[in-house]
Amino acid sequence: MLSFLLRRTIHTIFVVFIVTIISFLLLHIIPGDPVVRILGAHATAAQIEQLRHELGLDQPILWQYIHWIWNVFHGDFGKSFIYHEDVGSLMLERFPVTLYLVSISLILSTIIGIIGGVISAVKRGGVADSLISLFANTGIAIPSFWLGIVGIYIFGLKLGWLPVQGYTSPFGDLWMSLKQLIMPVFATSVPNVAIVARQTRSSMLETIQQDYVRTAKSKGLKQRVVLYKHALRNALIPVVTLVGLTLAFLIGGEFIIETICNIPGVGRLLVRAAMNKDYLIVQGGVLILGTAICIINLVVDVTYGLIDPRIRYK
Amino acid sequence: MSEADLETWPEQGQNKRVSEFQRFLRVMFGRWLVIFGTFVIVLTVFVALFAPQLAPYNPNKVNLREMIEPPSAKHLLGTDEMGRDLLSRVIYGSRIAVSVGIVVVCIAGVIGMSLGLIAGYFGGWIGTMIMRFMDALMSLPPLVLMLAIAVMLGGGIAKVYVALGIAFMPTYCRLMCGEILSIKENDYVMAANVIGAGHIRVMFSHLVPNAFPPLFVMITLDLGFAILAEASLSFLGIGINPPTATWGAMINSGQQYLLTNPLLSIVPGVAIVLLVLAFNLVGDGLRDALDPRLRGKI
Amino acid sequence: MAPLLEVKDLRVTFDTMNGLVKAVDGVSFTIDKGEIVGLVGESGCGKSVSQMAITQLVATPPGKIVSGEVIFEGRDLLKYHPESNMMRDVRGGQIGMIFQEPMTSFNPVFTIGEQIMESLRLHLKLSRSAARKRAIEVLEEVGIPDASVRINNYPHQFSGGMRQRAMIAMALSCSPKLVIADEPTTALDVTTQAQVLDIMMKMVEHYHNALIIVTHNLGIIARHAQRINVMYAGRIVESGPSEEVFLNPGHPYTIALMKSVPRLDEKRGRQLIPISGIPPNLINMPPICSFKPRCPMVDACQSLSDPELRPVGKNHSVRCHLNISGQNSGTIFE
Repeated sequence: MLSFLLRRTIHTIFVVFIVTIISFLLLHIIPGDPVVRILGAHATAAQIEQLRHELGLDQPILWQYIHWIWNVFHGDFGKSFIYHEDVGSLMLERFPVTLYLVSISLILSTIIGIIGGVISAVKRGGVADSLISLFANTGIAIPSFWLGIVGIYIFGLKLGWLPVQGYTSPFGDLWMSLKQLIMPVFATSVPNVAIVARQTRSSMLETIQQDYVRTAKSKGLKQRVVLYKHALRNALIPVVTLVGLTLAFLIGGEFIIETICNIPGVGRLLVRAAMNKDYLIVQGGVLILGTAICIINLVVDVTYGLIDPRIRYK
Repeated sequence: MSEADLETWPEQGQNKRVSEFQRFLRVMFGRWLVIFGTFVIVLTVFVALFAPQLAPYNPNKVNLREMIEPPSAKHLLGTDEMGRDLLSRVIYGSRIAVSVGIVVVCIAGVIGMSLGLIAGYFGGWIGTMIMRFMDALMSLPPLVLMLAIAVMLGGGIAKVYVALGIAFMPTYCRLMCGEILSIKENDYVMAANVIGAGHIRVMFSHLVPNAFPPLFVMITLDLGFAILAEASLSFLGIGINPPTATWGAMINSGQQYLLTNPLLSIVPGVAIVLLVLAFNLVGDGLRDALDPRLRGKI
Repeated sequence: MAPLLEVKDLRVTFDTMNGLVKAVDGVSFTIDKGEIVGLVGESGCGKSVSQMAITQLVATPPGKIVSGEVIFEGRDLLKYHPESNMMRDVRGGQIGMIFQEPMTSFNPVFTIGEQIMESLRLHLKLSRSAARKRAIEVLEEVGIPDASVRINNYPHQFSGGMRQRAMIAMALSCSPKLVIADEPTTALDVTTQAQVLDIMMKMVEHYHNALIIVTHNLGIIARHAQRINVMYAGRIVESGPSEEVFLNPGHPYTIALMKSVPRLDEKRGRQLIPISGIPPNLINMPPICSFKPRCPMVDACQSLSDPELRPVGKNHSVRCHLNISGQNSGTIFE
């Protein structure tokens, strides 16, 4: 287990290192002179020169990278040109909101997806299976932003049950906060529920055919025990890895929903920055999110080891 | 039982078995959902090809006297905030969708599979570098990655193709690499190496053809997901510039007029869902038909 | 005295893409208390499926137990729902199963001990600690060293032979009246095969279980079984006391099987004769003798009909038109 942990950690560090390189290079794929693009056509030569120096763009590229990464390690991601604030603190301010929403969606959708997938596999060929499978196919195909808009139209504008948009801290007004949460969480969760349900279903179906399930039956165990003790635990192994992957996908949906529902999270910040060509925020966002997801994937891998003794004891 | 009876008895043994291709067709089109998916795809491609003939109006023609009109005999789905005919715009939007799907999958597929082939076949530090690079790309939320690349490169449809292509590349690379690694162990590949077949020859006559079935399924699914991803980008107003009709951008501009004409947002959304769903259904059908063992792998 | 288990006219079909496969097509046999019966045949002749059907472990769908009776201690098991309490009590408690693949027959995420204890707690209603004690005991009996330590191991920490021993321990832990061993040693390498088989036989003797051993290895049967059933294309084609069948085989298929394996007790230089042809496709079989296309004695046979199982000696019956048995048929092709 220790060597497994060590290997995974080294792997993660290596991948994070490449994430930093990708984020760093993003600024360099801007066609033409990024400084001119940042400052606009009306900038004076002195301004351009000063920014170029600030960004270290007058230095050799390797040095630029070292310089940049050094700053990043000290929490300095550069300054936003629109907000005139530190990119790091802008992110940090908005991070809790996004984390709050994403974790609720992730937990809810994983649980619902697993339950749906298991029901679908166990009742294979039945009505429930057909409905769940149809939902799983359609759910992946629905853009979450469209679902958000349709939801706003039906429940917000037509029926008036839910607030149209906005965000309230759960520590301020919990009831309002929950009401505002329903739409965004629903919209981001639907595709994820579909993905998890699909994977759980196929993995459960495959597990049910395994020899050890037959052995369990041959011992006279109740079908419930065979399915939920012997089969499910094995079937969940691939689902756990999937959760790490869907997280990245979920965050994408979440970011668009933040702009639609006007939620002050990292997503809205990043999308606005992108539209306004606030390059440093985009760069910082890529770096921070990439690193965060790498670390979460490491945690997932360790969990994986806990479920599967074959990994734990290697 | 006489000899004559026995002669007319159905043939025994191998020759009676259903041929592989028949089996493929039977599994593939045995379910109405797959037929439905195929129909939707064929229909969309047809609409995209003949958009100028099918669309009742010029999709970009502004008519300020007919802004945000509800559906009528003149405009079957109504008009948008600039008086443009919604139906015509949805029809023209299919062109962007179909082209994005095809081009993005081509870019992602060709680059991803080539890198995967190199990583899987040669291994070593080159392979490790390639695979870790893909891990890094995969750990970035696809939307954020596409957003970043598209923004950095600047607007325009070509930039969207590139951004999406890069974001979709890692899965191809990983899948190819994994397939190659397992196929490489087969005796016939070793035999080819032993008799002195060159790297290129081994790769393209032995490895690639055998690695293809699962990739084929992946391509079908990704045609749909690329369309979904492009819709997200154009919804955010990044990439393809107005006034080009894209489904994502139409949903976005329609959301301000939900109370007057909700169809402005709903119809392009339904078009996206149907087309992506169709690719999913066909992809699933292909997977079951090509190899049942692939279930759950992709 | 009534036999422990009596299977009558068992039929199992599988619905496949190519058509309906009659995997088991009217199989009948019996086994007495404490008796050891061998079931031989090629791969795919329905021998495993017929045994799975006894405890209703055939996967449905695509499989289906079409008809027949499985009378175990006076009750027809097929009358009970596969998930009924009665069936579950029989499985593991009355009839223990040993499967072919030791590598995949244990659940990888639970320890060997947990998996053995599960049976003990269910059928013998033992407490956790008593079950653990008993599990260590049976593991020791099947010759697993340091059983009290190894009980906490996961299956992947056991070698193939060890796993199969653990499997035997698990199947016998609740002292079932009947043990069905489905090719118990096929997946093991030759040196472990003998050891594991030995252990299994000792255990069966010790606990006085009846044993059905399914195999395509005639040697195992010659050494251990009191009676032998030969299966071909979903049917029993020869059945009798093993000594009788080995000395006077009555079916060309049985003879062919015997010719195709080496024996130590005969003169050197005898050629091994493979059985020509391929096993028949069990879909849409014509109503003629199923072995006819491969039968080496087909020239001597005039009949076109499908032969019935008919007695050729005491407790010895054969499904063949020819009268081979009784003329020292063991030497017939030489």
